[in-house]
Amino acid sequence: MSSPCRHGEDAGAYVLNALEDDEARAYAAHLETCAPCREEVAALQVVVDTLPAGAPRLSAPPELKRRIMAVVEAEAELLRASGPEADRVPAPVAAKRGRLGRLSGRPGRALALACTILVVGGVAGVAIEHGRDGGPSTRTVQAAVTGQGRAALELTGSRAALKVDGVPSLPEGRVYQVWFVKPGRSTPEPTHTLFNVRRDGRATVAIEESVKGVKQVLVTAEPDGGSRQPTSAPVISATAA
Amino acid sequence: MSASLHELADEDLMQLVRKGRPDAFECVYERHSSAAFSLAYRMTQNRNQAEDVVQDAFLSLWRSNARYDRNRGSVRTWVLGIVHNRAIDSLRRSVVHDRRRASDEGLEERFAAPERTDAEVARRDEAREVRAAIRTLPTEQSRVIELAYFGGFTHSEIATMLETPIGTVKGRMRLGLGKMRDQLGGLAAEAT
Repeated sequence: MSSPCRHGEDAGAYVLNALEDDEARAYAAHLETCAPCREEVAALQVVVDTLPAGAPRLSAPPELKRRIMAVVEAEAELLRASGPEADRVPAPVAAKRGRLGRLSGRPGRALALACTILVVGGVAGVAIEHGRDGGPSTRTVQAAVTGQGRAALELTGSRAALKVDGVPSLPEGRVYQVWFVKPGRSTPEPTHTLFNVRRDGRATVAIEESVKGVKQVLVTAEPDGGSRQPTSAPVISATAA
Repeated sequence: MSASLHELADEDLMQLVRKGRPDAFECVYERHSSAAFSLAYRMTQNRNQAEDVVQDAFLSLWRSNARYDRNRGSVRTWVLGIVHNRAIDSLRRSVVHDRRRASDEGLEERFAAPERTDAEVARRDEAREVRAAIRTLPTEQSRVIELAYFGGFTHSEIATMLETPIGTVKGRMRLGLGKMRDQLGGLAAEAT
């Protein structure tokens, strides 16, 4: 079973995902041309596939299922509403998620979904004008929320604030990030506005950047420190213009 | 959820998931979420992080970014592979990777999964076999395998941790897995 190839010593570390990223890529390329190493990797992989059984058996928390199914049901509804076109955006393949602040590789369907949500947000958004004595009026736009909670965008001139209520708080290491979508641009632009919600799911967030020329405001859950491109589907979207 | 969905094989459910059927997804989730959470928790030793990993993995499955290919093994193996990769990513992003082990002690007792079906009893037996196979290895081999697979450490991190040459660490991984294959025999074949 052991490969006589000098690279065979990497087989165990490779199947355990213990090689460094560059080593793993190099070994994967080597496997393309080395049948003995391929054979050994296949033989060891079946052992690695049994290892999860060695973990103490726990039940997944019921609230986890509720959270996941809320997202799934909402996305299924949005995809149904948008028809077969929603499935035509190819999802890119990413071998591994990136480190903090780097695109972690699955924007395709997420962006397709974002576009879908944008449409729904545009339809669902309700604008309410609040006149203020002599100052710029404030317009409140109800946002579309995927999953639990409600959200509204308050627009005053070129400034905006996001108010959320009942939105799930994120686990340690995750943060909500605000994104802008501008006309004619398919990719959301990141902002520096990162936030989390209080225990009761509420937050009022002043968006740091000007919303002048912004068509849509999106919110996604990202790793701490934010990302340069969305790494998850939007949970909130609101029409800004 | 339709009762007939429960009668479908995982592979057939995945076809429906690809078509955007939430009820089929729910069925796949119910079958494999406990194993997924168990693995994620064993790796992260933190409930919130484990939930995040499982959520990320299953939503990835739902969004079809992770494409199931039945030629590459069972749905269960595939799902757990996604969870493993996501947990490793999560661990390697964490600045407290090597200090995370003390949190959430006692979760096993609070969330221990009941055994309700024949399949779950069979999995318990499978778990015993796997743990027994690991125990039969020399300590230095089982340790590097556990640190790599469940700890998410790279071979060079393990070499530093154990003050052992990298080549020795790789060799122990390879030898240990080879011995486990001999021990597990049919069980390893069933996992594919």
